[in-house]
Amino acid sequence: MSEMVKKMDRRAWGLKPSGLYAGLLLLLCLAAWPALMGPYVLHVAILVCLNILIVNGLSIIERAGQLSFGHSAFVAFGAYGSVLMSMHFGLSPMAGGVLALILAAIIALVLGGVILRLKGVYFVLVTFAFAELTRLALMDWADLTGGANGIAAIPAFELFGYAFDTRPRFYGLVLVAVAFSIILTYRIFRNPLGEAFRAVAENGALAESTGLSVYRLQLLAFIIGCMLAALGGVLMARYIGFVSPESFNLNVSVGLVTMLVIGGRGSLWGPAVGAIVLTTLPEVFRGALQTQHIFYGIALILILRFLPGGLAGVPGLLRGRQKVS
Amino acid sequence: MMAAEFLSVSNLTKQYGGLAAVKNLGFSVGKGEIVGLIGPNGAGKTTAFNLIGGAVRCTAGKVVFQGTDITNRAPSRVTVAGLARTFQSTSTYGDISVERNLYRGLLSRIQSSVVRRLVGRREGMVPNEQIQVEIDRLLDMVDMRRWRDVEAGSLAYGLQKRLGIAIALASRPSMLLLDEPAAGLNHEECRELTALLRSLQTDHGLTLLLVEHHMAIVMELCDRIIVLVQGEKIAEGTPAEVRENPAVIEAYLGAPEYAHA
Amino acid sequence: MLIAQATVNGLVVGLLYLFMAVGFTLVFGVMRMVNFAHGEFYMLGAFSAYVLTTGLHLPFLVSVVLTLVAAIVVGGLLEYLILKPLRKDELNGMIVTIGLAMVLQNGALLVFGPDPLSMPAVITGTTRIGSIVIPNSRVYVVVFAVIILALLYVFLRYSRSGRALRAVVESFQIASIQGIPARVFYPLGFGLGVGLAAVAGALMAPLFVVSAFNGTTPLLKAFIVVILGGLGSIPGAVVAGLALGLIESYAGLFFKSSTADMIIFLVVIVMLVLMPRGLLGKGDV
Repeated sequence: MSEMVKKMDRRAWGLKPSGLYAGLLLLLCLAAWPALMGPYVLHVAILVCLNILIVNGLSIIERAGQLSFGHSAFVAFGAYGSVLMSMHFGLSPMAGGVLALILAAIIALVLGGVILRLKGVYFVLVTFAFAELTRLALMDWADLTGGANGIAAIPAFELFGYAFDTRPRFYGLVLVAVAFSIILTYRIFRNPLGEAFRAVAENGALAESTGLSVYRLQLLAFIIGCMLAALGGVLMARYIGFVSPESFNLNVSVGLVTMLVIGGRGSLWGPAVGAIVLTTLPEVFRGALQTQHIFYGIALILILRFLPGGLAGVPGLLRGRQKVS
Repeated sequence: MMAAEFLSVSNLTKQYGGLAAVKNLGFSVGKGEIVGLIGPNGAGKTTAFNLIGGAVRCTAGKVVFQGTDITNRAPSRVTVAGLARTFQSTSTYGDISVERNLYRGLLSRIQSSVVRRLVGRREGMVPNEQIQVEIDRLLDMVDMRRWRDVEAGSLAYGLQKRLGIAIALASRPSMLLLDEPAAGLNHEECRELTALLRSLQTDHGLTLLLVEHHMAIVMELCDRIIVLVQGEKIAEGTPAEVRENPAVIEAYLGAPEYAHA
Repeated sequence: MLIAQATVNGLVVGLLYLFMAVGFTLVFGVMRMVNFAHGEFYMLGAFSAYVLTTGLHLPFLVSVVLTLVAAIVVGGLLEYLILKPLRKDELNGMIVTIGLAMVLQNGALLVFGPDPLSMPAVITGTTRIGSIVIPNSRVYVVVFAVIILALLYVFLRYSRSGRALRAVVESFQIASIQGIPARVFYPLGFGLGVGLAAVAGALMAPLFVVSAFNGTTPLLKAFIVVILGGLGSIPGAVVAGLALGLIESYAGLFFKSSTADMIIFLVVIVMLVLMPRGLLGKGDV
């Protein structure tokens, strides 16, 4: 292993392997609890996991310095894509899923190729417009997508004949996917690639002058991130058994960004913290939906004002490190 | 093509609407030379830099480096071709250590990484085991070993500029574009800078092109000087020649001694 | 004639879009902030007009004026209290406005409930110009809107603060250069910007239902108009606002609405990519 990477560990520039293992272990223990509670708790836990998976994708894109407000569109590509391909070409759920991921990657490549010349709020606006365009297209092309009614009775996910048609089984599957996404994010963050993403985000002109192509690096981050979103969509469609355009509207995109910001940008565990807090909180606020959203709004404002590193940045603050690594 | 033309710029023009920031600029830099680009504020010096380095698109003109046409190439690919630059402000990654700054400067050379493949570098690669060695070498080139672990943003200004030069050196260029390296430096730091740049030329065989306002450094260091006024070249020559040139004196160095006729 | 009717309808809607867009671009120009809460001020303006007119029985015009004043003050206060640390921080400032939007929308839901409310008509009957029929309520709106726009124009053109605001918006200069302290400048810019949104909401309140969910569409329209006309260009917002109203109206004659919407969003994306400065905007991208 690279001397430099070992040094990064020693000097705690980046993430230590021990940190990863500890975190995964903690998550696993946390995850064991819903399995013992009733189906409803399990249901919420599954939704949390899907959100962690999707927001991890957003986190990778953000690492390279761009904030995508169109993430929900790629979840839709995964969901609709895999279901439609299985339906029309008679493919297994897994084959449909794989093809949907490839489709999402191609769309991300084309879209990103065109829009990644834009920076900051302009990129936000164009991804926002793209998300809305996608929703409108899903509504409009009803012959293909079922329009506003969506597609129902989607069969469960299957892998080599083993059907994940019960909640506990699917929970196991989605936990594996979450672990995969966290490990992938970890590997990227620690790799020179992740360092390059960070460099590009912190000072694009300087990074470019050292031979790092901002455009190509951000494009790569965008493709990887959108593919993770699509993976979330592939699994989500097979779990809920139903897709409709409203599941992928602008509020969803904004919600995903909120999860990332509150959980913590620039942190490996940010997506997990954000997804857990924001997906489970409705349960705490049982029925008082408005109060819950007011709480989110205030939390967002306070975090940006006092804790720019999000909730996951708190341990670092306590240890005296002000900056996000 | 003459062997002495390491970098050759011809007809370089940049129009912003009706305004020409740089007009028909042409000059060349020979291998191993230190050339200075001077002129009053707003003369287009930094724009010329940006045009050469690819940060800004040329309206017209050509830039040839070591025989290759690099006009309008993306800056990252210009760097990979061997031409690196420094910045006047925000020249470092302020929140991280000096060492990590250099690591970032090296990223596009790391042999086994995707980053290198993304930008298409094929020479001057660094295998994993050599990364630390290379960083140490860079620290020695600018004599900054003892600040290895210091956060870049907390360094004295002169040291930050030196780190900026080291970051540019990290991509193993054969030529450096330096954007006002002496800006904001005190007397002592200027002396150190001059010594550093001289050593880069003599000991490391680098070719330098610098934009600079600090006349003493320019006169002492440069083999040749190019004078830019309102986007156009008005003079070119050795420091002695330029110092005596009446057009330069009038436009930039100071009013002529004689009274108006 | 159908086209003439569509033209009139388009211009009325275009006026609404114009109000939203000018306010939005004002906020962006002064503070480099994409204000995701802009639509919620429209919504609150509508509720304000509703409460003042139906609850306190004030004349409609008075309600509108009071709403404008209140919105400028509240907007200014919000800017000073919440947005101040994030002035000039484009991305984080924008995210804070998302939080603000959540608080405002759900606050309205808590206070007024989810059911849409109907304001009694301010004026009834219709006016006929040739073969074109215009409900008087819309004429009312157009007249008041034009008056307010005229006042805005005078303010921006002839008053010192107004000229300073315009200079900052259109050439991205620093507020302090204009000789007005930043602590007045930013709240004023933000307050005026959201004040325009609130007035639009107040004027439109009698025409449509009043609901806490009414803020999202005007926000989207503001985005579209400002992107087309150029972020930071007030003339651009005016032209593009009217143009969007007209385009939507005409498109409605030939396409079904979802297709028209899709085309518009596609145009928006293409505009952002090819001409990020918009048709008339300035500034770095």
